[in-house]
Amino acid sequence: MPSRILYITGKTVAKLYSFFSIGLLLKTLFLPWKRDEIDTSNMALDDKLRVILMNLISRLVGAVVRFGTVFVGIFLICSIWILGFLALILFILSPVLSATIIIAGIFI
Amino acid sequence: MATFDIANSINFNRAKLERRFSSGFFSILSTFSIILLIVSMTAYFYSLINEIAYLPNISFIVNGLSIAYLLFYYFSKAFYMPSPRLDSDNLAESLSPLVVDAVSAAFKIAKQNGYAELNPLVLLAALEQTDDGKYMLLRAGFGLEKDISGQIAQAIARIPRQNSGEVKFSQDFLDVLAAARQNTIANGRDAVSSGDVLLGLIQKSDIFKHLMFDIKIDEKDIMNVVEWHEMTREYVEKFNLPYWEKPIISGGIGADWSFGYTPMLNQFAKNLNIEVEFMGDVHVYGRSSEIDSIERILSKTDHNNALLVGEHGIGKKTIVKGFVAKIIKGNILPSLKYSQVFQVDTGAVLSGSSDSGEIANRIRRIFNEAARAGNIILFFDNFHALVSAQEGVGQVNTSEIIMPYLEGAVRVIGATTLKDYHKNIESSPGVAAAFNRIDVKEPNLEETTEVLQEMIPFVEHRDGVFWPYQAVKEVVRVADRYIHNIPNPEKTIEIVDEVSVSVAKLGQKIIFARQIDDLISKKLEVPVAQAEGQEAQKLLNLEEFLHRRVIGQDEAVAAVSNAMRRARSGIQNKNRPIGTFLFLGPTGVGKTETAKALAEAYFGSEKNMIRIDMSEFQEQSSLYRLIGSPPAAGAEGEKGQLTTAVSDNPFSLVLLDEIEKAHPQILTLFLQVFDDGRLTDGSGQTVDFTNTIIISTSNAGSELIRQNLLKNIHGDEMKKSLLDFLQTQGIFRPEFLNRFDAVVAFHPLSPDQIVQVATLMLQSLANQMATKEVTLKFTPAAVRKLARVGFDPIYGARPMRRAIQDKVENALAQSMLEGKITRGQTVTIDEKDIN
Repeated sequence: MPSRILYITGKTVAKLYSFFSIGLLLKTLFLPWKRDEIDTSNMALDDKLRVILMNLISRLVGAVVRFGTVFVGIFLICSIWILGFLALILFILSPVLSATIIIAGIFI
Repeated sequence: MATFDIANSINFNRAKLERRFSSGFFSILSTFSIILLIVSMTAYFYSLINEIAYLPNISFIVNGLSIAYLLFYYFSKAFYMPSPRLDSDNLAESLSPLVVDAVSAAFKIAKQNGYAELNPLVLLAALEQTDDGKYMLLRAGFGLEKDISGQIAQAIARIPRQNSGEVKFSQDFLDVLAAARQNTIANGRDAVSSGDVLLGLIQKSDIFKHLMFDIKIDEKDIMNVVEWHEMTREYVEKFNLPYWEKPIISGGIGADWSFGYTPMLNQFAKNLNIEVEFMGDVHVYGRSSEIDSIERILSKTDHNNALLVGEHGIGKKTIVKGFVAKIIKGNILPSLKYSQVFQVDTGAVLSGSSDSGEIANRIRRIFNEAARAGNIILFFDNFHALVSAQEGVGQVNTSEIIMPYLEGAVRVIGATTLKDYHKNIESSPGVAAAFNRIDVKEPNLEETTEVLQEMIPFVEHRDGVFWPYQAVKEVVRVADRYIHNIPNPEKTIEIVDEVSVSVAKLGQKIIFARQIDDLISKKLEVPVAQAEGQEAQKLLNLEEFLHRRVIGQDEAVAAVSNAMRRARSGIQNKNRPIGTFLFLGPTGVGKTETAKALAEAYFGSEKNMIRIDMSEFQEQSSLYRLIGSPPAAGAEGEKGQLTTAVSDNPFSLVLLDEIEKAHPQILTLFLQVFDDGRLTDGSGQTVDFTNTIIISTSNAGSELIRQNLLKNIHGDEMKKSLLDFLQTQGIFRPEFLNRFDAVVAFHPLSPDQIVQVATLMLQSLANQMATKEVTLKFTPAAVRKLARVGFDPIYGARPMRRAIQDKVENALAQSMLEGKITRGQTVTIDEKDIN
């Protein structure tokens, strides 16, 4: 049973990881949003600077949205791990717990 | 030596205890405990808020007791988990919990009825009562038309009883379980299942064998049913997985943000991921190896393009959709995760512009976009149109443009036919080398059955019908026998769909083989049913049926009838035409009439006769008029008279009149038709002749037939002298004559037979007059006179119809117009009325 609790917790975490595309988003954290980047070769210097700035903004927007999503995903994953460990501890203590609360119910 | 010792079987006893825990009192109590736990915890918190003094103590006690029981329950279940072993001498150790149930039930039946021994029959009775056993027996066809429980009960009632004493296990019972275990090991299963026991019963239960014989199934069928059941069970288990075991659909919420926009592809292609996701779960049956090949090829770092090569309608697009479904389910190799498959509309890309530069630009932009987006796989149906060796309408050669992309920048799936692969793709060695070829082959009958077994549970769920195994077998049989223009498994899947829907519409629940036969009969206008009922009667009395239209010619009619009976009862080779006959004899003796009568008997109407006058094909150059000519540059080829007619009406009688007048090269063409039942037409398409009856007629040897008859030579002797004559005179080559199922000599008609022909024709006229409510009668003298007038020594009875028209019909028409013949009148025509 304890291994089952750990197994279900692990699987739930994997699903959350996949649902929030955490691996992919971290790998592409600083890529332009939807790979929308303008090629700057053969441009005049002022155009080039303007486009580089635009590309930078595109990367920044992408990074902010991705980071936010990754943050929410990691928060939920941590919560599931905590809940899983709590369930595990409760299960391990359940024989003692049941005896204790019966005794407490009768004598306290 | 295998034994069956329940007392010393840990598995058997654990299985019984585990069943007790999993159902009944203990199980109900566990549910009750969970409810109590929730209620008492709620009560505890309630008491804290409202300061109720006694409630916390009660809650504590109830909580503690509930937790204690749940611990006891789950630990007991885990402790008594059955552990079947296949290597023990004790057969009881190898049984699955369901078989343990069945054996326990059988033991109970034996004990209650006071049987001395527990034998296979009692085990069958117990198995028939379990869900698994009942399902498999029903699937195999037991109990659909006859009550199997009743039949088993009758057989059980005959087992001798004893007054007291212990029930022993008979040797046959042990043999059944030993055979079942052998089957379990052979199939790589962990424990003896109900299906394995069923297979064991085939070996040792006479009553089971008798029941199988009764519904026309054999051991192999039962094996297939058991395999089918196991497969379905695995599917159901997969569907009922808890949430944490189920795969995530699509690539997660952030999958799209990391890949590029695809405006060009949105215009010229459709996103198959969206289409498949919208359709829900896509079921691709029996193509897992092809789908796995695509996955393997596309996940490589270079040389990562796949080319599906197979005939039209074999399911290439379905395979690609199956691959897309794998991507969506996330059940795919990591390098292909988040991929989007776009099916490029080649027609749209190549149309709308006569400028080849514009088309090249479009293609370049599509590939650029796919390369830039980072997760695009391009799918081209009819890929050959892009790299065509001969450029024309709808075909360009863009090999030079796409080659750089095919070297790893873009992943491409192409689909083409074998013919187009050889013609267009092989001629561009670079393109051919950039692709990994996957041959999509037509599955054989066994594989087709497996495909249907995968598919049918979903169809049953959709339409609320039940497909017994015999019905599945019948679908595969009739599709293989009668449909040759669509490959498997598509044609069988189509039939399953159509039959399911039509039976569901009628409000029926079970599909019977006859319903499949009816559907195919209606669809193809051919009698599909096994030689039974009316059709069997027609075949048995075919001579009588033919003689209703054909006068005399007993030998010819008998030869044709025997050949037809062979064909219909399934004895004959199915890769040849149903029958091939050479009718020899003078003009006007009934050759064509026999062909018409046969078309009516076999295909339901004489309209299903394709008549080709072979005297029109005396030149070798006329070959193309018969089979069609290849397409010339920019123009479609000429249609072939024979091939077009047969491909339009594959269930026909082909009458080749005056065959001896055709050019010898054209006759050579028919050797392949007679041998293999197929012919390749001018455009390279194969035309199927396996559902045709081919009758060739010839006047050659008529004089010899007449002389032989004068010498009283009949039967085989006549046939031998005719064949010798035809060969020595060089009319037909021996290899041509040898390929006919029967060479049939038609005799000149005797005066009596001519009178009979006249009677038959006049009867037909009388029937026509009867529809106008005029009764037409002929005196015997009138019939004799017409027979005399309508007979010609050279043309036989052929002028008879003209004589009846001239002498009778014209006069009747005149009288009717003048009002001399009115409705309800009886007209008798005598000799003197015929001038």
